[in-house]
Order: sequence, then structure tokens, then C-alpha cells
Amino acid sequence: MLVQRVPDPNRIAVDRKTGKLITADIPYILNPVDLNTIELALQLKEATAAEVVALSIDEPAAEFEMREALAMGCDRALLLADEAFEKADTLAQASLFRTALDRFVKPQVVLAASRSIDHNWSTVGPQLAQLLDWPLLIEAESLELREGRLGGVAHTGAYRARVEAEPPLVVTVARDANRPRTPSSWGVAKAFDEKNVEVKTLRDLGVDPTTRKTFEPKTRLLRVQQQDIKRERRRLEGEPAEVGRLLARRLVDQGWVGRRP
Amino acid sequence: MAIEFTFTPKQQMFQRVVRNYLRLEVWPNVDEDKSGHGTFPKKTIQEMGKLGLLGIPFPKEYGGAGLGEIGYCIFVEEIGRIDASIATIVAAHQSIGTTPVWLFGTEDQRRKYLPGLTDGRHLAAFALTEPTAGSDAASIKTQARREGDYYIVNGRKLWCTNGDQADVIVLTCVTDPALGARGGVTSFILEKGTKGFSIGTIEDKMGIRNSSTAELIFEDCAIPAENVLGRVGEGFIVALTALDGGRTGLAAGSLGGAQTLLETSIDYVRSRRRHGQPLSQEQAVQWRLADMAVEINLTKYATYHTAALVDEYYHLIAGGKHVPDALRDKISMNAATIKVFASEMTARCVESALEIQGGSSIWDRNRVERAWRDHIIAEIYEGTSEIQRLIIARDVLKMGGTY
Ligand SMILES: Cc1cc2nc3c(=O)[nH]c(=O)nc-3n(C[C@H](O)[C@H](O)[C@H](O)COP(=O)(O)OP(=O)(O)OC[C@H]3O[C@@H](n4cnc5c(N)ncnc54)[C@H](O)[C@@H]3O)c2cc1C
Repeated sequence: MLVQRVPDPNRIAVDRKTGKLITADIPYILNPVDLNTIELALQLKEATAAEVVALSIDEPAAEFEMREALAMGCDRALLLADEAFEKADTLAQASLFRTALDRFVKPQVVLAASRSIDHNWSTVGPQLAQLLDWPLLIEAESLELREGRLGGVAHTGAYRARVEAEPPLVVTVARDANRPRTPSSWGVAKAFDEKNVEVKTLRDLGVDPTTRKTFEPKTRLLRVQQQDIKRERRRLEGEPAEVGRLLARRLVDQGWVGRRP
Repeated sequence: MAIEFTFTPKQQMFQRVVRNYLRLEVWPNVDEDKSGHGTFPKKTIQEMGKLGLLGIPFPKEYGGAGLGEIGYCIFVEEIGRIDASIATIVAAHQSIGTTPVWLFGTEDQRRKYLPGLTDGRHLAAFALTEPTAGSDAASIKTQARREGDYYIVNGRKLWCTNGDQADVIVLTCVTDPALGARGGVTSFILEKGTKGFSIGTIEDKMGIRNSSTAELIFEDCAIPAENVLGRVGEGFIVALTALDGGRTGLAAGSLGGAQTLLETSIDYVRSRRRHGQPLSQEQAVQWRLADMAVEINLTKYATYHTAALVDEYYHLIAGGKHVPDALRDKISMNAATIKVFASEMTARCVESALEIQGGSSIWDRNRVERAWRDHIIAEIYEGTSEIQRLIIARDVLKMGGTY
């Protein structure tokens, strides 16, 4: 299961001039869609007794957010941290993930969030599937192992599809696929007292350090432009409950919150 | 001792997890029941039990999370931010209800009672106060008379938080009227459903309405002698030791409440405009906000400092180690200090929030209105402000100053 920390969207600021995030001292959280991914993985674990491993590429400080995954119930956490990875784009990351999975995990199923809320690139999961040459199931809302095949409901755009494939496979998980569990106080204690975040460097991955070039990004971020959003005022009238329903409907219909049915 | 005011990563994670849970899952459901004597939030308490939030400080070997008094205070502070009723329930359960069993219980008693109390299957309470003994707890009259393998209890306890909901109650009785408070008072572990024990009036209160406050009635109630908690005659040591941690937790709860008052006040003055300017531009308003922030920040340091001391102290006691009297006094003095200061500080924050938020602050369901009714109890239970001052005064007179 691939996870990633992202800047806490409630506590960030954007530099108006460059359109980039002000990155000094920002608080991080686990990518919210990763919480859905972890929940789905843990449900699979409860149904099949699988081992759940969280894997991330980040700075060593991301160890803290990895502990949250452990507190929720993941069995292991692997953090690939090396200065050499700093510039890696999603393709280079997918390649690192493949190496790490092969060396340290040998999984049957790889779960990844369908997107992260920071860059919103939905590419790592599909790229990894391509590199592994495994089937890919995208935007899964649920998963179920039946007679050796892993089936899931994929929610894409306006329709839902039942898809199944034989492991090994890669699954990307839909935003709001489920209600992620709250770690218990026991889980938090265990994540620090009994479990470890295994930090792996370039050397541990067995990658020749002279191949630094491999991590040169093939894609480049040129410019970020903020979308201007016009404020709209509308007065809704009626009974409070009715007004509430109307407001909720509007917000959902216009795509501000939740998902369209 | 190093002066270090940073939570460990484990404590930080616990705070993050608890804060998210309370905001997302509990806060939407904390409406008060204004009818009758309020409604005990059974579902929420059960859910908290399943999440290990009713056994935070206790060692893992007894089913707790092993997060100590600091972990416990982190939770009470966070719940204090959103609901003083639930804060009262979980605090009474863990600090004065369960802690005595951990600190003074025999190994058999610990093994029998702690797992259910720490994993949330059972709820605990603490019964000391009586109709004629509040601040003057030494004059309790409920009597426990030894008869064979039992103690026969007769009398009444008043205002027992969780009393009607609890499965286990730490009960303080007179076992030797001649000796009184010095050697004549004993603690017992009372189980729900014991014959001769019944619930009397459940109070209808102005604040913390969803916590229940019950009268306990004892008519020839037979408690097995093996349920004596601690040594016979040392019931006051049991009660006062539990109250040290209890008061520290109450300070954390007050601290949480004060922060909500500051935050709602900030929200208000940022959005409320007069003469085309947000109220936050008014210096008179800013000074009030600054005063709230000053007191909150200082209370935070002192509360967690005390929690760290209590944690050490409790582990010494639970481990059967010798506890010097000087340490006992220091802990009691610290706990009394932080309890009286935090509760009165919150009262001042309520006043400021009322002043800042004007008319809307006293609307029904406004958080200031609720805080105004809820905060008062913090200056009363587990020893009134006057009693805390007596403890502090006794100590400074003895020491000729502070530590
Ligand atoms: C909601 C609620 C929950 C409670 N929960 C519990 C519980 O779970 N378990 C439990 O055992 N008890 C509980 N109590 C009781 C609580 O601890 C007592 O109310 C408290 O100790 C004060 O006692 P009292 O109310 O009898 O006041 P009194 O003792 O009658 O005091 C009245 C006033 O006189 C002042 N005063 C008294 N003595 C002195 C003195 N020597 N010097 C100066 N001033 C003095 C007091 O400070 C107070 O202002 C609860 C009470 C309430 C209201």
C-alpha cells in the first residue's frame, strides 16, 4: 500500500506571486485518500489475514505520519528516504516503489490512493502497474477476495463497474470509498512502542548510486495558476431542515462537497 | 529535571488522533438534552471505550494504553474543548473511579476489575460526598461494620458522578467511628447490583446536564471483606491520592473549555463588522483576547508539568515504592494550584467571551451560553476553590514559601 503525507490543507498558505505552496514549517497529514486506502487494506486483512505494509518515499521526518498508518493497524511501514530521491517525479517514484516492493515486501496486491490532494496527479498507481506488468483496477470503492480472484466495485465518472482480476494486481482507491477507522489509544501506543518505521536508503535498495540520473524528472512543473472562483450569493427560504437539504443539494451539484450520485 | 515542554511524538500522535475523532465523530452529536435530568450519552461513551479512551493512563498489563497522566490530560483537554458533560463522565471514570483500584488494589483486585474498566466494558465512579459532608469530607457518616467475611454498609452518598451508570464504585465509609478520619475510614470496591445498594435521586442540574449525578442509598448492604481497597483505616489516603490526579485532569478539561471560548471569540470578532471594520481591529477587544491567551498558555504549561509529576508519583505508588511525605505534599500543592487556577481562569474567559460576543453569546445553543452553565462545576467538585486554597495555604505556611 502506497501512502504519502501532504501539507494540511487547513493550515497552508500559497505564495500569490509564484502560485506555489509556502513550504517552510508546514504541518503535514496523511493524504486523506490514503486513509480510505488504508481502511480498504485493513478490511482485506481482516477478511484474509493478509499482512498490510505501508510504503512511502519522503524525507525521514515523514516517519511521524507513517506511524499513523501503523496506529490504524498496518503491520509494517517502509520509508524510502534518500537525498537522491528528492527530485524524483512520479515515474521515478513508481520505479523506486517497484524495486522496494520486490526487495522487501513481495506483495500480492498493491493499493494506492487514486490521487493525492496536493498535486492531484493520479499517475503513480497506473505507472507502477505498467512497470510491474500487472493488471490495474482503478477507483475501487470496495474489494473482496472470491475464489482466488480479487473483485471490486470501481466508481468512475457517472457509473459503477464490477471488475475482478487474479492477483497480483494494482488497485487505486476512490476518494471517500469508506469511512476510515479512528486509531485506538492502544493502536497509537503500539505504533510507537512495538512497531517500527523501516527507513531504507538508495544503498538498501541496491540501486547503483551512480545512477542518480535515473531520478532526474522526466516531467517538469512549469507554472501553477490559481483558479479564480466567483462568489455567489443566493437566499434560500423555508423551514430550516428544508433549507439545509436545498443547500446541501446545491453544494453537491456544483461539485463543492461530496460526490455527485 | 530538564525543562522540556514538548510532547513526545507518541503524545503528539495521540493528540492528533483524539482531536480528529472528537471533531468529526463526537462534536456533531453533543447537543444537550434540556428535559428532565439530561441524557447520559451511552453510545458515545461505549464507542470511546472501544477506542481505548477509557483506559488511557493505565499500564498495558491491565488493558490500558500506557499513555500515562499526560496522555490522560491530553484527552480530557480535547474533550473539554467540545463537551464538559462527557469530560466529567470520562474523567470521573478514569481518575477517581479507576485509578484507586490500580494504585491501591491487590494484584487479584487489579486483575479482576481493571481489564473491564480499561477496555470500556465497565464504567467506574467514586463516592465520598454525603448530605452532611462535602468540603468537610472527614465528617462522613456512612458506616461499614465488619460481620464475618462481609462489611455491612448503611448510609447515603450524594452527588456521585456516573453513580447510576457505574459497574464499579470506589466507596469511602467509616469503619471505626472512634478513630474518625485518622484511621477510621476505609475504601471499598462496590459492584453494581450488590444487595442493599440502590440509586436514589438523579439530579437535574444547570450545567454538565448530560453527565449524571446520583444519590446512592445503602441499607444493610453486604460488601465482601476481600473488596476492601487499600488498608483498613486508610481510606482517606486512597481518596486524596486519587484526587491529586483527578484535579489535574479537571484543570486540563477547564483548559480545553477556555480554548474554545478564545477560538469562538476570535471567529466572532473577525467576521463581525462595525463602522465598516471588523471588531478585531478594536484595541479594547484585542486586549481581552490577549489576556485570555496569556492565561491559557501559562495554564497549559502548569497543567502538563503537574501531570508529569502525578505520573511519576502514581508509578511509585503502584510499584509499591516508598513515597516520601514531601513528595506527597508537593503533588497535592501542585494539583490544588492548577485546579483552582484553571477553573477560575475559565470563568474569566467565559466573562470575556460574553463581553466580546455580545447578545448572540447568550442564545440558546450558543457555545458561550453552554460554557457559562457548564464551567461553574469545575470550581466546585473534587474540592471547591476555597478548599484548594486551604491546601495551598497550609503548604506555603509550612514551607515558608513556594517550592
Ligand atoms: C455535579 C456534581 C458532581 C459531583 N460528583 C461527585 C462525585 O463523583 N463524588 C463525590 O464524592 N462527590 C461529588 N460531588 C460533590 C462535590 O465534591 C462537593 O459538592 C464539593 O466537595 C463541595 O461540597 P459541598 O457542595 O457540600 O459544599 P460545602 O462543603 O457545604 O461548602 C459550601 C461553601 O463553603 C465553602 N467552605 C466550606 N468549608 C470551608 C472552609 N473550611 N473554609 C472556607 N470555605 C469553606 C465551600 O468552598 C463552598 O463555597 C459532586 C458535586 C456536584 C455538584
